[in-house]
Amino acid sequence: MDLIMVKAILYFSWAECKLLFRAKATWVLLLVASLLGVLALNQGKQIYTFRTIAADSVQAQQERQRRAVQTLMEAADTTAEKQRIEEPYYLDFRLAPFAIKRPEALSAWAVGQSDIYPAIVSLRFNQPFFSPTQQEFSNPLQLLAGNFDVAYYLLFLFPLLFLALIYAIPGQDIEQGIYQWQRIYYRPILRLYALRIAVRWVVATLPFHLCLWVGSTWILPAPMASLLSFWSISVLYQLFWLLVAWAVLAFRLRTATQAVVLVSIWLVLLFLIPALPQTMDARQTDFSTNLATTKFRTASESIWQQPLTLHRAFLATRYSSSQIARLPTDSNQVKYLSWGLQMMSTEGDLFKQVSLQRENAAATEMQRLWYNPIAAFYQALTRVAQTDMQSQLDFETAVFQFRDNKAVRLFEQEAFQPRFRLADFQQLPIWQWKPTSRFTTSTWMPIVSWLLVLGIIVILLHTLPQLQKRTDGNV
Amino acid sequence: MFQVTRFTLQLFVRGSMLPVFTVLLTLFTLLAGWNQIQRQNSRWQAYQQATQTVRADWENQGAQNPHSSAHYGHYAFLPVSPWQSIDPGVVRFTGTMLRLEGHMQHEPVFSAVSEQGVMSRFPEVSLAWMIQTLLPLLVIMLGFGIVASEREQQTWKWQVLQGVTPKKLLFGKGLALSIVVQSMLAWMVGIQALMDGLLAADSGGGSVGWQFLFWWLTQAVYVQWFVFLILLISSWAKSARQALMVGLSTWLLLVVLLPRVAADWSAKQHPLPTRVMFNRQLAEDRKKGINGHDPQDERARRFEDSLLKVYKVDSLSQLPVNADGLIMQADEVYSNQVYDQHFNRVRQTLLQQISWARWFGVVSPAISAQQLSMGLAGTDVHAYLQFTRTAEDYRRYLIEELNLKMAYGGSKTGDWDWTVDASYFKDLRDYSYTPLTLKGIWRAYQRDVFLLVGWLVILFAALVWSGKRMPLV
Repeated sequence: MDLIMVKAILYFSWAECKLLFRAKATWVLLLVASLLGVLALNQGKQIYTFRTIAADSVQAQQERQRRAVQTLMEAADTTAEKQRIEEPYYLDFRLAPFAIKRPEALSAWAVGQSDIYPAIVSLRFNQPFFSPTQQEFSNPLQLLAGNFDVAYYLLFLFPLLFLALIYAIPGQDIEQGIYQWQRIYYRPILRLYALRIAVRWVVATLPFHLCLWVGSTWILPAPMASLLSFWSISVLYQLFWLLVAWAVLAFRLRTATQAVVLVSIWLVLLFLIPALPQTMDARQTDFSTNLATTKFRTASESIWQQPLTLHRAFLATRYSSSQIARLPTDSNQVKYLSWGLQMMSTEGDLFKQVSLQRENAAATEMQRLWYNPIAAFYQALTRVAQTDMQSQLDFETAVFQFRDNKAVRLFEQEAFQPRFRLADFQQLPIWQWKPTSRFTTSTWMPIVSWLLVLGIIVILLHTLPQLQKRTDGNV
Repeated sequence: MFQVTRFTLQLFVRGSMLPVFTVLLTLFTLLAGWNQIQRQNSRWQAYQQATQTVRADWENQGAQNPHSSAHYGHYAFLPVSPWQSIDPGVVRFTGTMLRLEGHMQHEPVFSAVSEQGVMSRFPEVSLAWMIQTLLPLLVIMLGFGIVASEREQQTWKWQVLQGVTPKKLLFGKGLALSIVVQSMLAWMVGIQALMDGLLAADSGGGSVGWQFLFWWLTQAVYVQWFVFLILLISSWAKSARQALMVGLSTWLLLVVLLPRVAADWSAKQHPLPTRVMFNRQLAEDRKKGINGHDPQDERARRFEDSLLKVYKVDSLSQLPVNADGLIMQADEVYSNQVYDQHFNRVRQTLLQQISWARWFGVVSPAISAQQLSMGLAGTDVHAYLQFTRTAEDYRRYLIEELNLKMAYGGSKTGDWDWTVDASYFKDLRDYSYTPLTLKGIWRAYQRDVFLLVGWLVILFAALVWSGKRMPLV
């Protein structure tokens, strides 16, 4: 690219900007887009704040309870309360521990699936993991409508703003006869129009980037790497729409026809293609997990009803003979220990089944991103924000493991050492979890592939002589 | 006027847009219909299997202590509406299974969407979605130039000079567009009804009743509103291009943007409690009493004393009945009051949120049409709340029966190993869901009906006014 070329590009870009900003409609559109952007930021921020406050209040309550129990443990008295607190079951009841999945800062921008799943889960041992009392309340109507967050603004509204700015290029010039006149002066006429569209694309992206960077100061501390990833995906998504617009430009359609075509593309990409996977899943039953949990209830009953000899036989497979000899003489306590351990094992099997089901769903979804570009971008955004199903699965797996380890320990403690001393209390593990980033190459690949394919299509459409001849007829 | 209508209809038929839209709509209706019917059938089979399985588990639990049985519990599953294939509504987002057990009242869990990825958050294509989202767009595309193009090409003025009044021209063209659009709607509804009758008969689909006809009528009113709107826009726009842009922007605002804003706004006005806070307050009230000064132990002691007085004995062991059953039932009755207080607050908040969102129907008839559609299809939040209400009533019946069996079945106080015969559990009735009646739906949604009809009347009046005053050039 020589200097003259650069000068020409700059000259035409400046002229296009002047043309664009001379129209009142541009200012109105940009103002509306900015207001919607602020609304989306505010909406996400409120959801984030609500969740952070909920997490903080549970955390504070837990710390208070832990301190209260510790003070009681340290006391040298022999009151009834002191004696009760030394029982593992009662101790866990008093501590009422919770596992908290703190909202990631970027979850304010892409709420994703986080409004479906519980973020605060009880860690009490001897309480079923699949307890319905852990599910958050939500309004199904709001879940159906979806959240008005930054991801929604980017995916659904940005393309409309961009299309509103470019739908008349080159149609308006064709209808007013300017196109033919310009063609005399500029032979690579499509390049001129591509440049005009690119300038308008930059203008259309401004409200979004402005909101994003203002918003980033609003929700700090967000890791810079996550912020950059989110921003990069957004830019790539916007680039995707620029390529779509360039592809349509090659057909040199009239204004009304181009508007209809662009809106149809928007509809197909954002509504019809994402609906296809649901068609494929039409036969999938929705009650598989439900039935599995009802079996859990049956298991609970049948394990409890086992004869004592069976319970003792089960415990013999888990503990040494010296430990078995130390078992309490009360048959109910033996049953209770065996039942608890067997139930945890059954619960573990059920958890594996549910996890596998979700992992399969996640894997199938990843495969489908190859023909669903918008979902590929959305998936990437929610992955950066840690609000996708995979992130929840990681959290629940960690919770299950933590709870399982703790339960084994406390069940045994209850059976072999019914009193719980200060040293035992201090050794109790405390819930700590940091999500690991799953933002890997597999997340990027569908996006990059889509952009490459679209780029090749644009080059072909703009250079194919047959198409140029055919579309000359439109002009 | 009818000549204008006939001539406009001929133009529609000869043009390329109408045949293309008809083919596209037919294909999408077939795709959406097939998809939703498969889903409905699949859910129906799963529902049947699940209810039969848990009932069989319940009946075959063998000789059992009634209180153990109350802990063992039962399950109720969200039933499948026969019109779910037309509008799946909020079904994917609600819990589908409700555990029913003694001492505890639960909420339904395991929504379908919790087992799916982020793609499940995109809209689900169904007949209702097509009518409420896609058809208005096609109405705009068919109608944006109906007056504006003629004015742009100066033919409008020419026709007026021939002696046809602008009002007759506008209404003649409007009638033609209405015939085309309502025929499209009837065609789509007909395809779906036929598919339902053929493919979803087992799961209750294809039953054309009053509810279905009302559903059709409300959607017809909504679509007609869009016909009036685009006629109005086209009659005042300076050019066809301007009419198209205004029409598309209006569609975007009313159909895509506002329903989302309405849901968010209403949630902000009436926030739901967090589960942790809710559980904490519930446990507190159960333990200390609703007023905070009536502990559980105190209540039990008072009840025991009253029993001793009634039976004129000195100790519980002397009672001719099992006091444990009666104490548990008394506790159950008290717990129900506590649960009612807390869960009703959550339900009230939910209903307030929905009511707020529905008021947005004043601005966007799309919201009223969507709400009515879900309500009449039996897939709305009211149907979901009806399920939780009837299931809770059943839980209370079941636990009361078990507690009274424990009390009067022949056991003595403290006899926890006492069992009843296995056949007893078979005699207890199973849960059955009673759907909302048409009257109940009317009560819940009359405001939306008035808003929808009101909007139609307002736009019709605006059209009449516009017919007299709209510019000729």
